[in-house]
Amino acid sequence: MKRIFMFALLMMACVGTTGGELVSFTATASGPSDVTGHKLDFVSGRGFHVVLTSATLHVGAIYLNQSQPVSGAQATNCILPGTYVAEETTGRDIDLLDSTAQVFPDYGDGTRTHARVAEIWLKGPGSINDPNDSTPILQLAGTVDVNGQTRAFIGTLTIGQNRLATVSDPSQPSAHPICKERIVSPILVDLTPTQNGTLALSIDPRPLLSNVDFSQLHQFSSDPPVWGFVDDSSDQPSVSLFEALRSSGDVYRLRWSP
Amino acid sequence: MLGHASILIAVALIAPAAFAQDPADPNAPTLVAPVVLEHVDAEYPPSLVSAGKHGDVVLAVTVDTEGHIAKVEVLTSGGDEMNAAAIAAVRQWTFKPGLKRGVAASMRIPVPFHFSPPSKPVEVPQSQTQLQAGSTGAGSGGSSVTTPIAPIAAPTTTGDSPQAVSVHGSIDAPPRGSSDHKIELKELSHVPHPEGAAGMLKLAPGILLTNEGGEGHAEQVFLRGFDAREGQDIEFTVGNIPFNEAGNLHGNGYADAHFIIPELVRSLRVMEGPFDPRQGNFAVAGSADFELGLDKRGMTVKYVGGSFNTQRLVLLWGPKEEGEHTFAGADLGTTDGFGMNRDARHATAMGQYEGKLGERGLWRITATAYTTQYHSAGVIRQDDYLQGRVGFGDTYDSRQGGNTSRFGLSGEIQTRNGDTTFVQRAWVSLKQMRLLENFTGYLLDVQSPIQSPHDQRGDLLDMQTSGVTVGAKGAARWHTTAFKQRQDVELGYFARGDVTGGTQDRIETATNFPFKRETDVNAFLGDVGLYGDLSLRATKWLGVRGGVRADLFTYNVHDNCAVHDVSHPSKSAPPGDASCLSQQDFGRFREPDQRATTASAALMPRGTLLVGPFSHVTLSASYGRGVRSIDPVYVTQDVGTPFASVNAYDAGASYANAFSDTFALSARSTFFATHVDRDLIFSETAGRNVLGNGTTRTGWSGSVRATGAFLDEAANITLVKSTFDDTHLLVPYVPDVVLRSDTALYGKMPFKLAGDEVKGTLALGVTYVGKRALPYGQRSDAIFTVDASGMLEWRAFEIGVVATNLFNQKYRSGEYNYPSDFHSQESPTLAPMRQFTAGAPLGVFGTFAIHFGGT
Repeated sequence: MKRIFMFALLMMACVGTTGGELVSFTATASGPSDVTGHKLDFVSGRGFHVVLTSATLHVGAIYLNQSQPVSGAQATNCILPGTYVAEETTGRDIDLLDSTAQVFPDYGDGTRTHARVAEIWLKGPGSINDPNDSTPILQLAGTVDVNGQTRAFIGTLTIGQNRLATVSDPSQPSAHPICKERIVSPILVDLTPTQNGTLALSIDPRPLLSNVDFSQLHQFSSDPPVWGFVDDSSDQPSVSLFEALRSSGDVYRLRWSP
Repeated sequence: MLGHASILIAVALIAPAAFAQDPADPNAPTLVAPVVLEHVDAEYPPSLVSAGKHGDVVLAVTVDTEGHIAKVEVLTSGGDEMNAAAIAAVRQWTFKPGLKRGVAASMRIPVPFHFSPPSKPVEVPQSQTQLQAGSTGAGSGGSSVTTPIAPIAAPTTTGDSPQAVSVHGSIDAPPRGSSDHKIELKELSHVPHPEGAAGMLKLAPGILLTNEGGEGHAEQVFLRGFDAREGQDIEFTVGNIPFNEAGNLHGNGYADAHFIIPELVRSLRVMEGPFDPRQGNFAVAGSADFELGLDKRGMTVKYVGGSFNTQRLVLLWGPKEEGEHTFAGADLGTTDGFGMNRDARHATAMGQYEGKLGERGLWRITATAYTTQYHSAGVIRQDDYLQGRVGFGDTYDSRQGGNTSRFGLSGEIQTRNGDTTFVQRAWVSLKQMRLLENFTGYLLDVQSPIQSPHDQRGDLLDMQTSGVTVGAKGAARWHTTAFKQRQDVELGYFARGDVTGGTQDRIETATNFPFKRETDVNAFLGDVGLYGDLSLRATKWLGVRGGVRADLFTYNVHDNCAVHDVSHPSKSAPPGDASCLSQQDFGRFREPDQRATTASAALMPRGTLLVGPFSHVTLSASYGRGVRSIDPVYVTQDVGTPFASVNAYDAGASYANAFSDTFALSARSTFFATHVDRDLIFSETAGRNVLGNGTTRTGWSGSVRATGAFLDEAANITLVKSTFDDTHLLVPYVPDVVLRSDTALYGKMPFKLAGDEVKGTLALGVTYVGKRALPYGQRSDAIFTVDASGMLEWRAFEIGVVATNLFNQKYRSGEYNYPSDFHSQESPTLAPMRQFTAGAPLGVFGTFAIHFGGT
């Protein structure tokens, strides 16, 4: 009886939980599932026939957040400590013309907490606030039919000084920090990380080019004739591509596999 | 008038100092005689006045384990009238119980009276002395006392004549059931306590100590499921003088016991719960009092040196002619610490003098000084450690550490007048503390639109706080006899004022310049309390102790940095990177400061029901309400209740028995439950505990102590479940299973050196802490450590070796789950992750001591 009593006491003391769970998981990324032969042949939103033969995106990090952003709530800070559910902090280049899962180098970490929003950080290995980060974020190559002519195009986008917004209000010199240009958010998700699960990021490059007016591409060379995207916001194709890259609409999809 | 006869009382009226034995002396008696706490003069019998008769009466008084008189017998008769007068008087006396190997035991002692007629008063000598107490016969419920009480001063007794003595000695509060632990260190003082004086707290059940802040940082105390941090939930006193720091920015009630030289601690009283009306602010989990004293008279020089380039020099003085409450000591130490960035150095000085005041009073003055400077390693992320990016004992930020200085002066007066005892205590202390800690790395310095563009500059906290405390407390204790039992009433007050101030900045890693001021507060805090305490006995076996206490807390807080942000800053004069802003929206001016005053009273009923002893077992049940005043930074203008309160309940049984002259055993079993309306929960961003929701704890603790001719063993276990009231989830970080064992084996060695005996002592301290609940449903690793020491004592010399963490366990002293970013990975680490502070590896230290000029 005495032993039972002591056992009961011990059990009383040693059971229970603080709630939640810390988890480790695998993160992967891939291009769209309908990629065939390492190329993507499609008609853009503006009616251009495009054949992508190379598309690489550098994803610096992925974060899952438990907070649904309220309009205006994220007008100030890029990072909101205390709201993050899970993270994959080791970046890699993703071949967007490969539909197989490309595994991030390190495991991700997080908690078993419901996530409502994802953030994709488009950055190199340095700080998210480093204005001089020259890491190529997006690299494209392919052909497009313009006015009955097939043009080869290329494009390399970086996010650095070339994307810094000018300060319009001197009382708020950091209202538009470079980190805001690098974080794609909010990407709506509805998932709960679990131990040893997989966070699968799917990236479709087609929406990136959906609104690009390929007729306005800058001609880089005439022999051979090559057109391309300039790495700033000086023309419509580049602005459109960069805006689409940071759009949380149709480009990025995240799902959780236990 | 015949009422007040001049009575010559010859009795063992012993100050607590006087019953001390030299624990290092193998020939020392194993018994400690009862000490008279309060006595009442006998009335000279009116019927004998005309005859002018002198007479002597010697009574045999049996003092039970509670300090009450169980039996009175007449050994030497002075006639019926004198016998009756002596018996009537002695029945009103109270005693501190006698001890057998540190355990309360029933004892029988002779108490002689000498009666002189009023017209010929007898002068009462001022010297403190003792009775030749070699009595015989079995005491009630205990065994016979055959060993004379060893006087501390040379006795002045001559022949068999009773000697007149004065009553001197401090009053101990009556014990409050099974959660009230009076712990005599004795041989267990040899058990290594790497934490210093605070480590001795582990002799009480349920206590775990950790320290993430470094050698000079107060120990974090966990008690019965409470995370009391650095004392915020425990009322700490030394010699009944409080040393919790009200208004300390690192935590209101921060209590650093490092200023106490461990060698000067004689005993502890740890009350695990707020059950005594004397307990005041911060007594939420309970209270702990360090009683100071020095047994070895003369001078002692002690050197400790060993692992991690640790060196410590201790000097102790105890004038041979004075009691052990008169002493002085100094302690100087340095260490490189284990691992990275754990070096420390400290110096401490303490002095106390206790003198006699009048015939039966005493006065005491105590001075303390302490200063330290140290570095600390802080936390390590588990993922970085497992992937080899950092070592177990490394640091991310070598700027962590701090310094602390504390100077204190206190005085105490106790006098007795007839049936009333008066106590007055006053103190003043001056302290300063700087603490640099970095729990989160580069996480919190988020870009604000009004600031100039910046990256994360670092989260290193630079906290500085200072304060002056002036306080006084006093009490009058009156007693009478009713139902043939002694009844006591005590009324007391407590008054304390704290002038405090502090700042908290964040320091930029690249430049070491402060870039953000988070807090800049000055405050005046007042706490005045009154209490009444009854100790009533209806019969010999049924008693009630308790009363009520009321405290008024007042706050006058001046926040010098009240404005940190503005939504619509001035375009012409934007605040930029300034921290403490002086503008409102659209550039309207305002001063950056704000004052808040508030006050609130707390009423705290407390009581204990005692039943027994029956066959050495006393049952008890207690209830008490306690409070903890909140940090000044939380005060809002005119919003009351600047405190959190606890309701505590316990029921238990205590057993104490002396089986022989050399073997005694005591044990306790207590079930307890506590509820706190606003608990303190660790916040890594604040670097300290912050107010959380209500919590409830239920559990059980048991303890046992056995003392014999060659053994002193104390062991305890505590099981507790701590949950939040709203979610019923576990409170993180607090241990739910704590086991502790302290063992000392001692005795004469089977050989002699130069014809003199050699005494040897082996001591062992074992700690087991179960897996603690951590946030996100995790459990920490269990902790199992063994500390050991061995010592040889020959003539005036002591030589020993101490090993801490004997089995070199690689354990984590503290573990946490929260987000941090120490730039150890490619991108910021923003999701929660396990962090830990490393426990110390095996340390081996040699000790050498010389005693001279004393006994």
